[in-house]
Amino acid sequence: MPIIVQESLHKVIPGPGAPMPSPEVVRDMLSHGITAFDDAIAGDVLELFPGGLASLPSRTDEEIQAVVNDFTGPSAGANYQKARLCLYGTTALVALVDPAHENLWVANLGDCEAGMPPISLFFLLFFTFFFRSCAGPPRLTPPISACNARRRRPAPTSSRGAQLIAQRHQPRGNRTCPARSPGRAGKRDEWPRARHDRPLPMYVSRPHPHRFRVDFKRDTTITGSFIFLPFFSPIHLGFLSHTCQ
Amino acid sequence: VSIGIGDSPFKQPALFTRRVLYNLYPGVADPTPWETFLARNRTPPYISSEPDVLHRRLGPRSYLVLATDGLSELFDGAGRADMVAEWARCVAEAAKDGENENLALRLLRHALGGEDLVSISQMITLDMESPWMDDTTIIVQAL
Repeated sequence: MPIIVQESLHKVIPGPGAPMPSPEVVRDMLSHGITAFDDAIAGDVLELFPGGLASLPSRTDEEIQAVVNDFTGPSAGANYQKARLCLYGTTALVALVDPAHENLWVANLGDCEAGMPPISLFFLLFFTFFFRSCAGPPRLTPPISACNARRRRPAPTSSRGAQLIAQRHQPRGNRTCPARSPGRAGKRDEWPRARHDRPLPMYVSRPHPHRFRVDFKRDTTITGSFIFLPFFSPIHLGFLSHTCQ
Repeated sequence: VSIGIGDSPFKQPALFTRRVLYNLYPGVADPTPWETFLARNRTPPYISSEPDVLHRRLGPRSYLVLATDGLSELFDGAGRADMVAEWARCVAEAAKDGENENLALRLLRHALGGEDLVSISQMITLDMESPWMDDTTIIVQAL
């Protein structure tokens, strides 16, 4: 469960014996939790400067650079990562189900969709799971599956090649938090690096740093598989599907 | 109003971007594109972070499909109801193939062309200077 949702839930449901809040309370909790999370992105940076926004005009560029570009300081880049988050944007889609499986809340923030098809279209599934539940003990964790495909821009020197990364994984914990595809964060996000000739992009989505460590290993694997099968993308897709079973 | 997480230049006063983000490594070689926007940044925020939250009573067991708009764009031209019905058909067929089947990956594959190798090859190996497909993340959750 995403931490922001978990923390917000604890406020409205303090303990196991606490009564179930109304749907409206949970709805407001979800909304407030996501908004507070977003407020903290810029707020965490402003907290680095005593006096906040009002103090910025009186500070020199060198002073600000020393705070946010803390590659070699004791904070080891923590401030830099906080500030970098401000540059990029993403969407969020959070679904919450109560333990009794009676209520569903979906919080949607932007470029995403949630769909729960009519049950009539799922009659086959229903019977499948009905018989399965009769055959054995109920599963505590409902099945979940996930994948993502990341938009690829062709490299200037490459006229052809695999342009799609598709991957399969079984998310656990915070990894179930829907977010933009992590992409090849391991290589792309290394710092410091050579100074860019172009200005910083104004509106480019990047992965949330909480997903960085988790996704690095997986993306390295995916990238590696492309080295061996660069020219047969459909086969590659099948290959991924097969090896991830 | 656009909504999303992050994108602080669109949510904070121009002072924040000019003083903090301009000084962030590696710096801004040409601030012209930024200044075009910042000159108009008078009453932020211009992007909201307040989500649209829906509540539904759950019936018998079903599946919930969560996806970024990269998936819905692959169904461009189809109505929303038809699109969700198509998702349902695809997930239902995939679920019949076994418990370990990755329903989300099957849905992605279906959206890209399914078993039509020509269609899926066109999507994957298309040779263009600009991106032709949005980032797509899919989660299929059994309820």
